[in-house]
Amino acid sequence: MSDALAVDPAEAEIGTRRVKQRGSGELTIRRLLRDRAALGAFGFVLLLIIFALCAPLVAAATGHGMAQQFRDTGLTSAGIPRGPGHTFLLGTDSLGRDVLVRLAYGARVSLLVGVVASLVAAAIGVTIGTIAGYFGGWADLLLSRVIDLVMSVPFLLCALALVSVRGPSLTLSICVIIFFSWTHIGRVVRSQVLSLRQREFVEAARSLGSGPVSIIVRDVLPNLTVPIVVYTTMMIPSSIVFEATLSFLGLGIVPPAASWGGMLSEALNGSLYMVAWWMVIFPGGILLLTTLAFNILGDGLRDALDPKARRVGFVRLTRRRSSRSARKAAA
Amino acid sequence: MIRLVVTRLVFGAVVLIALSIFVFGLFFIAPGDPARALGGDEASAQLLAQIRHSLGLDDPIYVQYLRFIDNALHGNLGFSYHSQESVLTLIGERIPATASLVLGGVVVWLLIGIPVGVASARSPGSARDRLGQGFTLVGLSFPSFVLGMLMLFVLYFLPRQANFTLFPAGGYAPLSEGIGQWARHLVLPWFTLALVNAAIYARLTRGQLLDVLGEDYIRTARAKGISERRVVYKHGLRSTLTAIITQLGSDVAMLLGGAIITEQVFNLQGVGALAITAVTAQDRPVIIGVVLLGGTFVVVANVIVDILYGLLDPRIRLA
Repeated sequence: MSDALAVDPAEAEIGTRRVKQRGSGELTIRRLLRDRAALGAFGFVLLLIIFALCAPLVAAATGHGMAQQFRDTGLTSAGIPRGPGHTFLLGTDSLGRDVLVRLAYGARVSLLVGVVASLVAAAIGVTIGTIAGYFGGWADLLLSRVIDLVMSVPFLLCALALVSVRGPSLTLSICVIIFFSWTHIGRVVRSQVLSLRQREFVEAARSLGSGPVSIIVRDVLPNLTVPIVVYTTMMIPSSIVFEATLSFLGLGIVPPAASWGGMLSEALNGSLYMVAWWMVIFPGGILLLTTLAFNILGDGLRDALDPKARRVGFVRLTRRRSSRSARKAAA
Repeated sequence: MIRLVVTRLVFGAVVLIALSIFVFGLFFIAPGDPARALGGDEASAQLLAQIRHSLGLDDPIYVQYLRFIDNALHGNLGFSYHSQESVLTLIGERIPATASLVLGGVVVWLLIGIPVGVASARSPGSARDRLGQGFTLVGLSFPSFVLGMLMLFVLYFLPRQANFTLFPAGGYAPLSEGIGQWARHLVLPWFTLALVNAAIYARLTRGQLLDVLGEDYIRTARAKGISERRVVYKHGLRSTLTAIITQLGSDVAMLLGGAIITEQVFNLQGVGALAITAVTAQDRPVIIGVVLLGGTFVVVANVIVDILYGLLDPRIRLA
């Protein structure tokens, strides 16, 4: 090292630079911070959460209640909704209600349903997937068939039948979404557990006398943090769209409570959106941006937590390039 | 191969039985008394008992269930509470609209999804790939009813304001009115139904093809001097087809949901619209009929896909 210092100071500086040890958490955060799309998405989600939390403040600031109808000021004399303006920043809907205030309350519903349904569905999926993968045999056969069964049922039709009997409600929407969303993560976890079960460290734990519960909790599940986190994040946008769809079809949130899907369905009613574009653009836009943000965030998390998955594409890229240039050289 | 088909058929039957128990149980334990609904509020206890007896409501549950299945298997799904028409006829009238929508939608999404995926996979990391990936991301995030309403606004309402009609506002034109009319009414619904799935297929095709293009036999094919086009489409895409077909099988169930939404946006009088009307009107026989027929359709489609899968991929057939 001292020789190198004499020969080339620049090289020496590299050699003597202190190597800093970074944990995997720090590395993940550094990778995430470098991913501008994911950062933007994260920022949007944060803003959305603030927007949802401040819904009563928005209502107080504008002086318009969530379900309050302003038939005299909010509608034109012909009974048509008013566009964005001073009193109604984002316009009004067919009953003269403030679109901005309703968007804020709708954000609460969407986020609540998205997060709660995804977390519960992930918990169910992970539990069932782990049991099926770890114990194998009959348990696996049975649970895998159950997953196949739920996956091959036309879920919107079943939701329809269920709602027609029980009547629409927020709780029922969440239950329906959970029931039809846990299967995917269940399958992923099952196949991962199946291969982890064969690994040496599990065998070592078993030979040390650990029981199945201890092995699953202490050895198997910690190794599945990445797929579980990524798949749960990816489940949020689909739950949000699922809820919006149910509300859009009149099977979800009960009016006059606000939900983005319900607002869009009101806009479609009587082709009202043809004269009142703000009734589609704002709820539709915020719904699209929300799902987009969660999807980008999920992609970013996957890349940051599991850089291997990304590198595969790049290796292929160089391999292909080199084979092409080799062909060119031969020709 | 025969074993595969038999296992799949048995599983399909299990799905159908589970679905029928679900539907039957749902309506059996549902609040509300059909006898009371038919007899009116002033009906005497004797009359109610008589109605229950004639409807078979006083039999044990399993007898009622078996009778329900027996009727369904004979094509008797009951009569609509409202129009008094046979449920099977009601659904039958709506099938052409839904079938046109769904089949056309599948064609459109495969025609968009696969080429986009192939283009991405052929030059990973390029501008074209990033464009394809962007399409995938936006497509995956677009709720189909938002897309449908935006398309109606941009491609129907705005042109109409300029006195220029591109597409109709919605509704279904049967094939008997000419294939041009039929297609013109369906173009927007097809794209609405197809975009989300096209994104899924683009991503799937890209991923699978990237894997395959790294294989040795692709290098061999290139070494033989085959054109890159043939290498990709003939040798590469062939082995990604199995993945695409598997995905197609699992998407059939989703397709029915998509059809319900699209029919709602474009006011297409299909089976999905029938189901929504039935739910609003509490027309139970119609709801049961739609769920059972929808389920049957999904199961049959899944079995067909599994058999296709076996035919396409010898590795599965021999296993």
